[in-house]
Amino acid sequence: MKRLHAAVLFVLGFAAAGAFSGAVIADVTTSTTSSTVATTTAETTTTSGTTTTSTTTTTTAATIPAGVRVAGVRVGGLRPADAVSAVQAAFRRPLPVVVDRNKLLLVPTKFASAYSATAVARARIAEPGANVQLVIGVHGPALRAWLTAVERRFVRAPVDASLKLKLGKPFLTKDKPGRALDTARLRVKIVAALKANSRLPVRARTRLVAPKVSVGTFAETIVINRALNELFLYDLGNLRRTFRVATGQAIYPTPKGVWHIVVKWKNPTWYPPVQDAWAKGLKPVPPGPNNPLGTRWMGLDAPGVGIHGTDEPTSIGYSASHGCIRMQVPDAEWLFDHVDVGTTVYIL
Amino acid sequence: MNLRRGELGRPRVIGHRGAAALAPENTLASLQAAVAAGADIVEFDVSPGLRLGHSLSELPEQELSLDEALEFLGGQDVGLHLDLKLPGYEDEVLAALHRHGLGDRAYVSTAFALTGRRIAARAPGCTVAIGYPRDRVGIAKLHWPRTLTRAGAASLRQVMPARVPLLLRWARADALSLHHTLCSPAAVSVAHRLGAPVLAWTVNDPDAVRRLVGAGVDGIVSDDPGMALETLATLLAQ
Repeated sequence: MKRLHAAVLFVLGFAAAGAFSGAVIADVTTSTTSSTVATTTAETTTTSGTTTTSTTTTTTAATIPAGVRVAGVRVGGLRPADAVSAVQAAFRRPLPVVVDRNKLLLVPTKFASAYSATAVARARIAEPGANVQLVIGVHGPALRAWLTAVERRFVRAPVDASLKLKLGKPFLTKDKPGRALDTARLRVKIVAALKANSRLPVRARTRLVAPKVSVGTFAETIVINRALNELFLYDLGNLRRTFRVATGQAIYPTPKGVWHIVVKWKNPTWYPPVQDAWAKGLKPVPPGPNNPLGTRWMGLDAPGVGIHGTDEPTSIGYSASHGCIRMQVPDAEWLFDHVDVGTTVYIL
Repeated sequence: MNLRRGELGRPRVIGHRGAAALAPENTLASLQAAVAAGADIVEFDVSPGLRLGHSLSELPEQELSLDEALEFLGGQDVGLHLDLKLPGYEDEVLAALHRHGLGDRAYVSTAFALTGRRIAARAPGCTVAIGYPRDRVGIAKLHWPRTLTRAGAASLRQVMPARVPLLLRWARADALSLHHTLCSPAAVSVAHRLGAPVLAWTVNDPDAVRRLVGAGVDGIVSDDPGMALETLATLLAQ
Protein backbone atom coordinates (compact mmCIF):
# COMPACT_ATOMS: atom_id res chain seq x y z
CA MET A 1 0.00 0.00 0.00
CA LYS A 2 2.79 2.37 0.97
CA ARG A 3 4.50 1.62 -2.30
CA LEU A 4 1.36 2.43 -4.25
CA HIS A 5 1.02 5.74 -2.41
CA ALA A 6 4.57 6.60 -3.19
CA ALA A 7 4.07 5.74 -6.87
CA VAL A 8 0.88 7.82 -7.10
CA LEU A 9 2.56 10.74 -5.37
CA PHE A 10 5.49 10.51 -7.76
CA VAL A 11 3.23 10.50 -10.83
CA LEU A 12 1.21 13.45 -9.47
CA GLY A 13 4.37 15.38 -8.71
CA PHE A 14 5.72 14.55 -12.14
CA ALA A 15 2.54 15.82 -13.80
CA ALA A 16 2.45 18.97 -11.67
CA ALA A 17 6.08 19.69 -12.46
CA GLY A 18 5.20 19.38 -16.14
CA ALA A 19 2.15 21.61 -15.92
CA PHE A 20 3.99 24.37 -14.11
CA SER A 21 7.30 23.94 -15.85
CA GLY A 22 6.61 27.17 -17.73
CA ALA A 23 7.57 29.07 -14.59
CA VAL A 24 11.16 28.22 -15.42
CA ILE A 25 10.89 30.46 -18.46
CA ALA A 26 9.46 33.25 -16.33
CA ASP A 27 12.70 33.78 -14.49
CA VAL A 28 14.48 36.19 -16.80
CA THR A 29 17.34 36.56 -14.41
CA THR A 30 18.37 32.91 -14.35
CA SER A 31 20.92 33.57 -17.03
CA THR A 32 22.21 36.74 -15.46
CA THR A 33 23.72 35.39 -12.30
CA SER A 34 24.68 38.05 -9.86
CA SER A 35 27.48 36.16 -8.23
CA THR A 36 31.08 36.22 -9.23
CA VAL A 37 32.05 33.19 -11.19
CA ALA A 38 35.61 32.19 -10.83
CA THR A 39 37.03 29.30 -12.78
CA THR A 40 40.34 28.17 -11.59
CA THR A 41 42.37 25.76 -13.59
CA ALA A 42 45.57 24.46 -12.17
CA GLU A 43 48.05 22.87 -14.48
CA THR A 44 51.07 21.04 -13.32
CA THR A 45 53.84 20.49 -15.75
CA THR A 46 56.86 18.48 -14.85
CA THR A 47 59.97 19.07 -16.92
CA SER A 48 63.16 17.28 -15.99
CA GLY A 49 62.74 17.48 -12.28
CA THR A 50 61.36 21.03 -12.01
CA THR A 51 57.71 21.52 -11.27
CA THR A 52 55.86 24.59 -12.59
CA THR A 53 52.35 25.35 -11.50
CA SER A 54 50.39 27.91 -13.51
CA THR A 55 46.99 29.12 -12.44
CA THR A 56 44.45 30.78 -14.74
CA THR A 57 41.53 32.59 -13.23
CA THR A 58 38.62 33.87 -15.27
CA THR A 59 36.44 36.29 -13.43
CA THR A 60 33.30 37.97 -14.60
CA ALA A 61 32.68 41.22 -12.75
CA ALA A 62 29.93 41.13 -10.14
CA THR A 63 28.67 44.57 -11.10
CA ILE A 64 28.33 46.47 -14.35
CA PRO A 65 31.14 48.95 -15.09
CA ALA A 66 30.57 52.51 -13.89
CA GLY A 67 28.59 54.90 -16.03
CA VAL A 68 27.29 52.22 -18.41
CA ARG A 69 23.74 52.76 -19.65
CA VAL A 70 21.31 50.50 -21.50
CA ALA A 71 19.14 52.57 -23.85
CA GLY A 72 19.76 55.54 -21.60
CA VAL A 73 18.98 53.70 -18.35
CA ARG A 74 21.84 54.02 -15.87
CA VAL A 75 22.92 50.53 -14.87
CA GLY A 76 26.54 51.27 -13.95
CA GLY A 77 27.45 49.76 -10.58
CA LEU A 78 24.33 47.57 -10.45
CA ARG A 79 24.32 43.83 -10.17
CA PRO A 80 23.12 42.24 -13.42
CA ALA A 81 19.81 40.99 -12.01
CA ASP A 82 19.03 44.48 -10.67
CA ALA A 83 20.12 46.00 -13.97
CA VAL A 84 17.67 43.75 -15.85
CA SER A 85 14.89 44.83 -13.47
CA ALA A 86 15.84 48.48 -13.97
CA VAL A 87 15.84 48.19 -17.76
CA GLN A 88 12.54 46.30 -17.69
CA ALA A 89 10.97 48.87 -15.39
CA ALA A 90 12.10 51.63 -17.74
CA PHE A 91 10.71 49.77 -20.72
CA ARG A 92 7.39 49.13 -18.94
CA ARG A 93 6.73 52.87 -18.53
CA PRO A 94 3.74 53.72 -20.71
CA LEU A 95 4.26 55.69 -23.89
CA PRO A 96 1.93 58.70 -24.03
CA VAL A 97 0.15 59.06 -27.35
CA VAL A 98 -1.65 62.38 -27.68
CA VAL A 99 -4.40 62.51 -30.28
CA ASP A 100 -5.61 66.11 -30.50
CA ARG A 101 -5.97 66.81 -26.79
CA ASN A 102 -6.64 63.27 -25.63
CA LYS A 103 -3.84 61.50 -23.88
CA LEU A 104 -3.74 57.75 -24.42
CA LEU A 105 -1.27 55.51 -22.65
CA LEU A 106 0.28 52.71 -24.65
CA VAL A 107 1.71 49.91 -22.52
CA PRO A 108 4.91 48.93 -24.34
CA THR A 109 5.04 45.38 -22.97
CA LYS A 110 1.83 44.60 -24.87
CA PHE A 111 3.21 45.75 -28.20
CA ALA A 112 6.88 44.92 -28.12
CA SER A 113 9.45 42.72 -26.50
CA ALA A 114 12.65 44.20 -25.15
CA TYR A 115 15.78 42.10 -24.92
CA SER A 116 16.85 43.47 -21.57
CA ALA A 117 18.74 40.41 -20.33
CA THR A 118 20.88 40.36 -23.45
CA ALA A 119 21.51 44.08 -23.30
CA VAL A 120 22.60 43.72 -19.67
CA ALA A 121 24.90 40.84 -20.63
CA ARG A 122 26.53 43.23 -23.12
CA ALA A 123 26.61 45.98 -20.53
CA ARG A 124 28.69 43.77 -18.24
CA ILE A 125 31.52 43.71 -20.73
CA ALA A 126 31.01 47.27 -22.01
CA GLU A 127 33.51 50.10 -21.64
CA PRO A 128 32.73 52.41 -18.69
CA GLY A 129 30.36 55.16 -19.77
CA ALA A 130 29.09 53.30 -22.86
CA ASN A 131 25.42 53.31 -23.85
CA VAL A 132 24.38 49.78 -24.82
CA GLN A 133 21.64 49.43 -27.40
CA LEU A 134 18.41 47.76 -26.30
CA VAL A 135 16.88 45.78 -29.13
CA ILE A 136 13.11 46.01 -29.23
CA GLY A 137 10.94 43.80 -31.39
CA VAL A 138 7.66 45.55 -32.16
CA HIS A 139 4.67 43.25 -32.69
CA GLY A 140 2.86 44.41 -35.82
CA PRO A 141 -0.58 42.79 -35.29
CA ALA A 142 -0.94 43.98 -31.69
CA LEU A 143 -0.03 47.53 -32.66
CA ARG A 144 -2.35 47.49 -35.66
CA ALA A 145 -5.22 46.28 -33.46
CA TRP A 146 -4.56 49.13 -31.03
CA LEU A 147 -4.50 51.65 -33.86
CA THR A 148 -7.81 50.29 -35.13
CA ALA A 149 -9.30 50.97 -31.70
CA VAL A 150 -7.85 54.49 -31.77
CA GLU A 151 -9.36 54.94 -35.21
CA ARG A 152 -12.76 53.80 -33.96
CA ARG A 153 -12.58 56.38 -31.21
CA PHE A 154 -11.41 59.39 -33.21
CA VAL A 155 -12.23 58.85 -36.86
CA ARG A 156 -15.71 59.93 -37.95
CA ALA A 157 -17.15 59.73 -41.44
CA PRO A 158 -18.69 63.02 -42.56
CA VAL A 159 -22.51 63.10 -42.64
CA ASP A 160 -24.09 64.50 -45.78
CA ALA A 161 -27.04 66.84 -45.58
CA SER A 162 -30.27 65.32 -46.85
CA LEU A 163 -33.59 66.59 -48.05
CA LYS A 164 -36.89 64.76 -47.55
CA LEU A 165 -40.49 65.71 -47.88
CA LYS A 166 -42.49 65.41 -44.69
CA LEU A 167 -46.21 66.27 -44.66
CA GLY A 168 -45.87 68.26 -47.85
CA LYS A 169 -42.99 70.33 -46.52
CA PRO A 170 -39.31 69.89 -47.31
CA PHE A 171 -37.38 68.59 -44.34
CA LEU A 172 -33.63 69.09 -44.12
CA THR A 173 -31.14 67.11 -42.08
CA LYS A 174 -27.92 68.95 -41.38
CA ASP A 175 -24.53 67.94 -42.63
CA LYS A 176 -21.75 67.16 -40.16
CA PRO A 177 -18.05 67.32 -40.85
CA GLY A 178 -16.00 64.14 -40.27
CA ARG A 179 -12.58 63.57 -38.74
CA ALA A 180 -9.70 61.69 -40.35
CA LEU A 181 -6.51 60.40 -38.74
CA ASP A 182 -3.34 59.38 -40.56
CA THR A 183 -2.87 56.10 -38.65
CA ALA A 184 -0.09 54.90 -40.95
CA ARG A 185 1.97 57.92 -39.95
CA LEU A 186 1.05 57.50 -36.29
CA ARG A 187 2.14 53.86 -36.48
CA VAL A 188 5.53 54.82 -37.91
CA LYS A 189 5.98 57.36 -35.10
CA ILE A 190 5.02 54.84 -32.38
CA VAL A 191 7.33 52.17 -33.82
CA ALA A 192 10.16 54.69 -33.91
CA ALA A 193 9.48 55.75 -30.29
CA LEU A 194 9.35 52.13 -29.08
CA LYS A 195 12.53 51.21 -30.94
CA ALA A 196 14.34 54.19 -29.50
CA ASN A 197 12.88 53.31 -26.06
CA SER A 198 11.65 56.90 -25.88
CA ARG A 199 8.71 57.88 -23.70
CA LEU A 200 8.29 61.40 -25.03
CA PRO A 201 4.67 61.93 -26.08
CA VAL A 202 3.85 60.88 -29.64
CA ARG A 203 1.44 63.43 -31.08
CA ALA A 204 -1.14 63.09 -33.80
CA ARG A 205 -3.87 65.42 -35.00
CA THR A 206 -7.16 64.53 -36.60
CA ARG A 207 -8.07 66.37 -39.77
CA LEU A 208 -11.48 67.86 -40.57
CA VAL A 209 -13.24 66.19 -43.51
CA ALA A 210 -15.93 68.26 -45.22
CA PRO A 211 -19.16 66.46 -46.17
CA LYS A 212 -19.84 65.98 -49.87
CA VAL A 213 -23.35 67.40 -49.60
CA SER A 214 -23.79 70.40 -47.34
CA VAL A 215 -27.06 72.03 -46.24
CA GLY A 216 -26.27 74.85 -48.66
CA THR A 217 -26.94 72.47 -51.54
CA PHE A 218 -30.60 72.52 -50.52
CA ALA A 219 -30.91 76.25 -49.85
CA GLU A 220 -33.84 76.59 -52.27
CA THR A 221 -36.45 73.90 -52.65
CA ILE A 222 -39.61 74.13 -54.77
CA VAL A 223 -42.79 72.27 -53.87
CA ILE A 224 -45.62 72.33 -56.41
CA ASN A 225 -49.05 71.25 -55.24
CA ARG A 226 -51.13 70.24 -58.28
CA ALA A 227 -54.43 70.12 -56.36
CA LEU A 228 -53.98 73.71 -55.09
CA ASN A 229 -52.21 74.94 -58.27
CA GLU A 230 -49.66 76.60 -56.03
CA LEU A 231 -45.85 76.71 -56.05
CA PHE A 232 -44.03 77.08 -52.73
CA LEU A 233 -40.45 78.26 -52.57
CA TYR A 234 -38.60 77.14 -49.45
CA ASP A 235 -35.30 78.48 -48.23
CA LEU A 236 -33.44 76.02 -45.95
CA GLY A 237 -36.75 74.44 -45.08
CA ASN A 238 -38.57 77.73 -44.36
CA LEU A 239 -41.38 78.92 -46.60
CA ARG A 240 -40.26 82.04 -48.45
CA ARG A 241 -42.89 82.71 -51.12
CA THR A 242 -46.05 81.18 -52.56
CA PHE A 243 -47.09 81.60 -56.19
CA ARG A 244 -50.28 80.77 -58.06
CA VAL A 245 -49.49 78.52 -61.01
CA ALA A 246 -51.26 76.53 -63.70
CA THR A 247 -50.55 72.80 -63.90
CA GLY A 248 -51.41 70.09 -66.40
CA GLN A 249 -54.96 69.30 -67.47
CA ALA A 250 -56.39 65.91 -66.51
CA ILE A 251 -55.31 64.41 -69.87
CA TYR A 252 -51.85 66.03 -69.76
CA PRO A 253 -51.03 65.75 -66.04
CA THR A 254 -47.91 67.34 -64.58
CA PRO A 255 -45.77 64.30 -63.54
CA LYS A 256 -45.67 63.62 -59.82
CA GLY A 257 -42.26 63.05 -58.21
CA VAL A 258 -38.94 64.49 -57.22
CA TRP A 259 -37.30 66.45 -60.00
CA HIS A 260 -34.54 68.96 -60.45
CA ILE A 261 -34.08 72.11 -62.49
CA VAL A 262 -31.63 71.08 -65.19
CA VAL A 263 -31.68 74.08 -67.52
CA LYS A 264 -32.45 77.81 -67.34
CA TRP A 265 -33.13 79.94 -70.38
CA LYS A 266 -33.92 83.62 -70.65
CA ASN A 267 -36.26 84.71 -73.48
CA PRO A 268 -36.66 81.21 -74.87
CA THR A 269 -37.93 80.21 -78.29
CA TRP A 270 -40.89 77.84 -78.05
CA TYR A 271 -40.57 74.67 -80.11
CA PRO A 272 -43.58 72.41 -80.52
CA PRO A 273 -42.87 69.17 -78.60
CA VAL A 274 -42.50 66.55 -81.31
CA GLN A 275 -43.77 63.62 -79.27
CA ASP A 276 -47.12 65.21 -78.42
CA ALA A 277 -50.19 64.95 -80.63
CA TRP A 278 -51.65 68.33 -79.57
CA ALA A 279 -48.57 70.13 -80.95
CA LYS A 280 -48.86 68.62 -84.42
CA GLY A 281 -48.64 71.21 -87.19
CA LEU A 282 -47.65 74.04 -84.82
CA LYS A 283 -44.65 76.22 -85.66
CA PRO A 284 -41.83 77.44 -83.34
CA VAL A 285 -42.54 80.81 -81.65
CA PRO A 286 -39.63 83.26 -81.27
CA PRO A 287 -39.19 85.34 -78.08
CA GLY A 288 -41.88 88.01 -77.79
CA PRO A 289 -45.32 88.77 -76.33
CA ASN A 290 -46.95 85.72 -78.02
CA ASN A 291 -44.40 83.19 -76.77
CA PRO A 292 -46.22 80.54 -74.69
CA LEU A 293 -43.19 80.31 -72.34
CA GLY A 294 -43.24 84.02 -71.50
CA THR A 295 -39.72 85.29 -70.82
CA ARG A 296 -38.18 82.52 -68.65
CA TRP A 297 -37.79 78.75 -68.92
CA MET A 298 -36.64 76.50 -66.04
CA GLY A 299 -36.56 73.01 -67.52
CA LEU A 300 -36.87 69.93 -65.27
CA ASP A 301 -35.42 66.46 -65.67
CA ALA A 302 -39.00 65.27 -66.19
CA PRO A 303 -39.11 65.06 -70.03
CA GLY A 304 -40.66 68.07 -71.72
CA VAL A 305 -41.74 69.63 -68.40
CA GLY A 306 -40.57 72.97 -67.05
CA ILE A 307 -41.54 76.03 -65.03
CA HIS A 308 -42.12 79.03 -67.24
CA GLY A 309 -44.00 82.31 -67.80
CA THR A 310 -47.09 82.46 -70.01
CA ASP A 311 -48.96 84.36 -72.69
CA GLU A 312 -52.26 83.28 -71.09
CA PRO A 313 -52.20 84.95 -67.63
CA THR A 314 -55.86 84.09 -67.04
CA SER A 315 -55.10 80.37 -66.99
CA ILE A 316 -53.03 80.75 -63.78
CA GLY A 317 -54.72 79.06 -60.85
CA TYR A 318 -56.22 76.29 -62.97
CA SER A 319 -55.23 72.91 -64.29
CA ALA A 320 -54.95 74.21 -67.82
CA SER A 321 -51.50 73.36 -69.25
CA HIS A 322 -50.10 70.48 -71.28
CA GLY A 323 -48.03 69.32 -68.29
CA CYS A 324 -45.79 72.34 -67.66
CA ILE A 325 -46.01 74.68 -64.68
CA ARG A 326 -47.11 78.13 -65.83
CA MET A 327 -46.47 81.25 -63.77
CA GLN A 328 -47.21 84.92 -64.21
CA VAL A 329 -44.38 86.48 -66.21
CA PRO A 330 -43.07 88.71 -63.32
CA ASP A 331 -43.29 85.73 -60.91
CA ALA A 332 -41.36 83.52 -63.34
CA GLU A 333 -38.72 86.25 -63.73
CA TRP A 334 -38.41 86.61 -59.95
CA LEU A 335 -38.16 82.83 -59.41
CA PHE A 336 -35.63 82.57 -62.25
CA ASP A 337 -33.33 84.95 -60.37
CA HIS A 338 -33.65 83.05 -57.08
CA VAL A 339 -33.09 79.42 -58.01
CA ASP A 340 -30.12 77.64 -59.53
CA VAL A 341 -29.74 74.66 -61.77
CA GLY A 342 -29.87 71.62 -59.46
CA THR A 343 -32.71 72.94 -57.29
CA THR A 344 -34.98 70.11 -56.12
CA VAL A 345 -38.60 70.33 -57.29
CA TYR A 346 -41.22 68.22 -55.53
CA ILE A 347 -44.40 67.79 -57.47
CA LEU A 348 -47.27 66.51 -55.33
CA MET B 1 21.13 16.67 -39.68
CA ASN B 2 23.72 15.54 -37.14
CA LEU B 3 23.83 17.96 -34.25
CA ARG B 4 26.28 16.11 -31.98
CA ARG B 5 29.39 18.04 -31.03
CA GLY B 6 31.58 15.67 -33.03
CA GLU B 7 34.25 17.17 -35.20
CA LEU B 8 33.56 20.78 -34.20
CA GLY B 9 34.89 20.12 -30.70
CA ARG B 10 32.57 22.72 -29.22
CA PRO B 11 28.83 23.17 -29.01
CA ARG B 12 27.24 24.71 -32.08
CA VAL B 13 26.10 28.28 -31.66
CA ILE B 14 22.51 28.84 -32.73
CA GLY B 15 21.20 32.37 -33.26
CA HIS B 16 17.85 32.71 -31.46
CA ARG B 17 15.07 34.19 -33.65
CA GLY B 18 17.90 35.33 -35.86
CA ALA B 19 19.97 37.27 -33.40
CA ALA B 20 17.31 38.85 -31.24
CA ALA B 21 19.80 40.85 -29.21
CA LEU B 22 21.14 42.54 -32.32
CA ALA B 23 18.00 43.22 -34.37
CA PRO B 24 14.24 42.80 -33.89
CA GLU B 25 13.42 39.10 -33.56
CA ASN B 26 12.29 37.04 -36.56
CA THR B 27 13.03 39.73 -39.13
CA LEU B 28 15.33 39.64 -42.12
CA ALA B 29 17.63 42.07 -40.28
CA SER B 30 17.82 39.60 -37.40
CA LEU B 31 18.67 36.64 -39.67
CA GLN B 32 21.33 38.75 -41.36
CA ALA B 33 22.75 39.76 -37.98
CA ALA B 34 23.00 36.11 -36.93
CA VAL B 35 24.84 35.18 -40.13
CA ALA B 36 27.14 38.18 -39.75
CA ALA B 37 27.88 37.26 -36.12
CA GLY B 38 29.08 33.87 -37.33
CA ALA B 39 26.35 31.64 -35.91
CA ASP B 40 26.64 27.99 -36.97
CA ILE B 41 22.89 27.65 -37.16
CA VAL B 42 20.14 30.28 -37.37
CA GLU B 43 16.93 29.58 -35.49
CA PHE B 44 13.63 31.29 -36.21
CA ASP B 45 9.98 30.85 -35.24
CA VAL B 46 7.42 29.65 -37.76
CA SER B 47 3.87 30.72 -36.95
CA PRO B 48 0.65 29.61 -38.65
CA GLY B 49 0.41 31.05 -42.14
CA LEU B 50 4.12 30.26 -42.64
CA ARG B 51 5.20 33.62 -41.32
CA LEU B 52 8.09 34.29 -39.00
CA GLY B 53 6.93 35.22 -35.54
CA HIS B 54 6.65 33.88 -32.02
CA SER B 55 2.85 33.96 -32.21
CA LEU B 56 0.24 35.52 -34.44
CA SER B 57 0.01 38.55 -32.18
CA GLU B 58 3.78 38.82 -31.93
CA LEU B 59 4.55 38.88 -35.64
CA PRO B 60 7.22 41.49 -36.22
CA GLU B 61 6.40 44.90 -37.58
CA GLN B 62 8.12 44.03 -40.82
CA GLU B 63 6.85 40.56 -41.52
CA LEU B 64 8.92 37.90 -43.22
CA SER B 65 7.50 34.80 -44.85
CA LEU B 66 9.03 31.35 -44.42
CA ASP B 67 9.86 31.31 -48.13
CA GLU B 68 11.75 34.60 -47.88
CA ALA B 69 13.65 33.34 -44.83
CA LEU B 70 14.58 30.05 -46.55
CA GLU B 71 15.53 31.95 -49.68
CA PHE B 72 17.95 34.14 -47.71
CA LEU B 73 19.41 31.47 -45.42
CA GLY B 74 19.67 28.98 -48.29
CA GLY B 75 22.28 31.24 -49.82
CA GLN B 76 24.33 31.40 -46.62
CA ASP B 77 26.74 28.90 -45.11
CA VAL B 78 24.61 28.16 -42.05
CA GLY B 79 22.32 25.48 -40.70
CA LEU B 80 18.64 26.22 -40.26
CA HIS B 81 16.57 25.61 -37.14
CA LEU B 82 12.84 26.01 -37.66
CA ASP B 83 10.84 26.29 -34.45
CA LEU B 84 7.22 25.36 -35.15
CA LYS B 85 5.18 27.28 -32.63
CA LEU B 86 1.95 25.31 -33.04
CA PRO B 87 0.87 21.98 -34.50
CA GLY B 88 -1.09 21.91 -37.73
CA TYR B 89 1.16 23.09 -40.55
CA GLU B 90 3.93 20.49 -40.51
CA ASP B 91 3.26 19.41 -44.10
CA GLU B 92 3.56 22.94 -45.44
CA VAL B 93 6.85 23.49 -43.60
CA LEU B 94 8.29 20.20 -44.87
CA ALA B 95 7.16 21.07 -48.39
CA ALA B 96 8.85 24.47 -48.17
CA LEU B 97 12.11 22.89 -46.97
CA HIS B 98 11.92 20.41 -49.84
CA ARG B 99 11.16 23.17 -52.34
CA HIS B 100 14.25 25.11 -51.29
CA GLY B 101 16.38 21.96 -51.22
CA LEU B 102 17.26 22.50 -47.56
CA GLY B 103 16.22 19.07 -46.28
CA ASP B 104 19.69 18.11 -45.03
CA ARG B 105 20.76 21.54 -43.76
CA ALA B 106 17.70 22.16 -41.65
CA TYR B 107 15.95 20.62 -38.68
CA VAL B 108 12.72 21.33 -36.91
CA SER B 109 11.96 21.88 -33.25
CA THR B 110 8.62 21.89 -31.51
CA ALA B 111 7.22 21.90 -28.01
CA PHE B 112 4.37 19.65 -29.14
CA ALA B 113 4.89 15.90 -29.16
CA LEU B 114 2.12 15.66 -31.77
CA THR B 115 4.13 17.74 -34.24
CA GLY B 116 7.20 15.59 -33.58
CA ARG B 117 5.23 12.42 -34.32
CA ARG B 118 3.72 13.89 -37.49
CA ILE B 119 7.10 14.90 -38.86
CA ALA B 120 8.64 11.58 -37.89
CA ALA B 121 5.85 9.85 -39.83
CA ARG B 122 5.98 12.04 -42.92
CA ALA B 123 9.67 12.85 -43.23
CA PRO B 124 11.66 10.18 -41.40
CA GLY B 125 14.93 11.78 -42.50
CA CYS B 126 14.13 15.13 -40.90
CA THR B 127 15.70 15.76 -37.51
CA VAL B 128 13.16 16.76 -34.89
CA ALA B 129 14.08 18.39 -31.61
CA ILE B 130 11.48 18.28 -28.86
CA GLY B 131 11.40 21.44 -26.81
CA TYR B 132 10.90 21.52 -23.06
CA PRO B 133 9.35 23.03 -21.06
CA ARG B 134 6.36 24.56 -22.74
CA ASP B 135 4.42 27.26 -20.97
CA ARG B 136 1.11 25.38 -21.01
CA VAL B 137 -0.93 27.66 -18.79
CA GLY B 138 0.64 31.02 -19.53
CA ILE B 139 2.34 31.24 -16.15
CA ALA B 140 5.61 32.49 -17.63
CA LYS B 141 3.86 35.81 -18.32
CA LEU B 142 3.29 36.39 -14.60
CA HIS B 143 5.85 37.82 -12.27
CA TRP B 144 7.10 35.20 -9.90
CA PRO B 145 9.29 35.73 -6.87
CA ARG B 146 12.80 34.77 -7.85
CA THR B 147 13.05 32.29 -4.97
CA LEU B 148 10.00 30.43 -6.29
CA THR B 149 11.26 30.13 -9.87
CA ARG B 150 14.67 29.12 -8.57
CA ALA B 151 13.12 26.40 -6.42
CA GLY B 152 10.90 25.26 -9.30
CA ALA B 153 13.83 25.10 -11.68
CA ALA B 154 15.92 23.21 -9.13
CA SER B 155 13.27 20.54 -8.56
CA LEU B 156 12.55 20.25 -12.27
CA ARG B 157 16.27 19.86 -12.92
CA GLN B 158 16.29 16.99 -10.41
CA VAL B 159 13.56 15.03 -12.23
CA MET B 160 14.80 15.97 -15.71
CA PRO B 161 16.89 12.81 -16.29
CA ALA B 162 13.73 10.74 -15.74
CA ARG B 163 11.74 12.92 -18.13
CA VAL B 164 14.23 12.94 -21.01
CA PRO B 165 13.49 9.41 -22.33
CA LEU B 166 9.74 10.03 -22.09
CA LEU B 167 9.99 13.29 -24.04
CA LEU B 168 12.05 11.70 -26.79
CA ARG B 169 9.74 8.72 -27.07
CA TRP B 170 6.45 10.64 -26.97
CA ALA B 171 7.57 12.99 -29.69
CA ARG B 172 9.57 10.39 -31.64
CA ALA B 173 12.25 13.07 -31.55
CA ASP B 174 15.94 12.63 -32.21
CA ALA B 175 17.14 15.72 -30.39
CA LEU B 176 16.28 17.59 -27.23
CA SER B 177 15.82 21.33 -26.95
CA LEU B 178 15.93 22.22 -23.26
CA HIS B 179 15.69 25.41 -21.28
CA HIS B 180 19.25 26.05 -20.16
CA THR B 181 18.46 25.85 -16.45
CA LEU B 182 17.36 22.23 -16.96
CA CYS B 183 20.55 21.15 -18.73
CA SER B 184 22.23 19.25 -15.94
CA PRO B 185 25.12 16.92 -16.76
CA ALA B 186 22.87 14.01 -15.72
CA ALA B 187 20.05 15.01 -18.10
CA VAL B 188 22.48 15.57 -20.96
CA SER B 189 24.17 12.20 -20.44
CA VAL B 190 20.79 10.42 -20.41
CA ALA B 191 19.98 12.06 -23.74
CA HIS B 192 23.37 11.18 -25.16
CA ARG B 193 22.95 7.57 -24.08
CA LEU B 194 19.75 7.55 -26.15
CA GLY B 195 21.66 9.07 -29.07
CA ALA B 196 19.97 12.46 -28.83
CA PRO B 197 21.97 15.70 -28.93
CA VAL B 198 20.92 18.44 -26.49
CA LEU B 199 20.36 22.09 -27.43
CA ALA B 200 20.10 24.65 -24.63
CA TRP B 201 17.96 27.81 -24.93
CA THR B 202 18.14 30.76 -24.50
CA VAL B 203 21.62 31.48 -23.27
CA ASN B 204 22.60 35.12 -23.09
CA ASP B 205 25.26 35.13 -20.46
CA PRO B 206 28.92 34.06 -20.68
CA ASP B 207 28.65 32.33 -17.31
CA ALA B 208 25.76 30.22 -18.53
CA VAL B 209 27.70 29.34 -21.69
CA ARG B 210 30.60 28.08 -19.55
CA ARG B 211 28.27 26.06 -17.34
CA LEU B 212 26.58 24.45 -20.35
CA VAL B 213 29.85 23.53 -22.01
CA GLY B 214 30.66 21.72 -18.80
CA ALA B 215 27.28 20.01 -18.83
CA GLY B 216 28.08 18.67 -22.29
CA VAL B 217 25.37 20.25 -24.43
CA ASP B 218 25.69 20.11 -28.22
CA GLY B 219 24.12 23.42 -29.13
CA ILE B 220 23.73 26.81 -27.50
CA VAL B 221 20.79 28.90 -28.58
CA SER B 222 21.59 32.55 -27.94
CA ASP B 223 20.10 35.94 -28.74
CA ASP B 224 23.69 37.10 -29.05
CA PRO B 225 25.59 34.45 -31.02
CA GLY B 226 28.73 36.62 -31.12
CA MET B 227 28.92 36.58 -27.34
CA ALA B 228 28.49 32.80 -27.25
CA LEU B 229 31.21 32.29 -29.88
CA GLU B 230 33.63 34.59 -28.04
CA THR B 231 33.02 32.82 -24.75
CA LEU B 232 33.56 29.44 -26.41
CA ALA B 233 36.75 30.70 -28.04
CA THR B 234 38.19 31.85 -24.71
CA LEU B 235 37.21 28.54 -23.13
CA LEU B 236 38.94 26.58 -25.90
CA ALA B 237 42.03 28.73 -25.62
CA GLN B 238 42.46 27.82 -21.98
